[in-house]
Amino acid sequence: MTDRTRPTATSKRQSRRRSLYRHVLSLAVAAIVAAWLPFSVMYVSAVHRPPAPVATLSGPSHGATRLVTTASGATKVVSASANGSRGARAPATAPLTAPVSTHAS
Amino acid sequence: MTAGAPSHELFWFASRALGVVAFAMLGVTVSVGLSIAGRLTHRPGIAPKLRRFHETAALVTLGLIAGHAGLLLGDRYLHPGLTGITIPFAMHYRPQFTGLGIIAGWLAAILGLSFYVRRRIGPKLWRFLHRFTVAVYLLAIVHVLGAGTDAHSPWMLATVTGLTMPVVFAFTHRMLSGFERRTPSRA
Repeated sequence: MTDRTRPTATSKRQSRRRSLYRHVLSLAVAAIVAAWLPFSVMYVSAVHRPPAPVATLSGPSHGATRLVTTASGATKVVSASANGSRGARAPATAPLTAPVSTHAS
Repeated sequence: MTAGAPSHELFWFASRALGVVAFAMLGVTVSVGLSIAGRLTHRPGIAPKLRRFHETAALVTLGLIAGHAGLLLGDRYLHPGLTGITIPFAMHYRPQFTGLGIIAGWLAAILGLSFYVRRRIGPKLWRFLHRFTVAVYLLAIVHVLGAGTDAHSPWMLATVTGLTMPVVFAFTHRMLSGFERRTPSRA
């Protein structure tokens, strides 16, 4: 390791270049992870997101129905009470007596 | 949170807030530790200052982690009990992710406090053990994204990304400089 004790201009330049490479490579890896992390979280949450209700229809013939957009983008009509979703209203004879705490937000 | 008075969830809110701050402090601590080990800066006199900051930040992080877990004891909805917050996978709320968080907490305590017994266990073993602190950060990320109720909100994603970027940068730099030190120069 004689280069360390008597640094020449060439070895100095070499070490500076190596340091620059190290910094650039580290930054590149950090940037890739920084982009991948939120992307993967958003992608996973989008895949697992339940279909969002678009509108509510009600009529004498079919009761309460909802228009639902599926993951593929198609819109279909579903019965609100059939799928047990939050869209189905509780019967008037069963009032909510206790506050609901779900820690969902 | 669909309903319920905010006063009923004071412990829950406080625990979440402490958890976010603990994660932020952990990110800062690990980044600083890695930058010391990887000799990211050569400015004279900076290393002892960074080391002091690293030690202080690590102790604050441990306190915040303890507070994050301890405050859950007061939450009436989760009601985890001492077993739930100290034994991995014992809590009924998202057990895998809270379990990984508990493992991360214990690892942080063991690896962080081992600094004070490094003379007894030997600096070589301590240095070897201390390398696993990065695993604590990885486990914490999984815990935050899996068990955190704010995990998918943009501000939380920005926080996690903003904290992870310097950690990954310092870790890669540390690995590369370690690799170069092990590999003798052919010039």
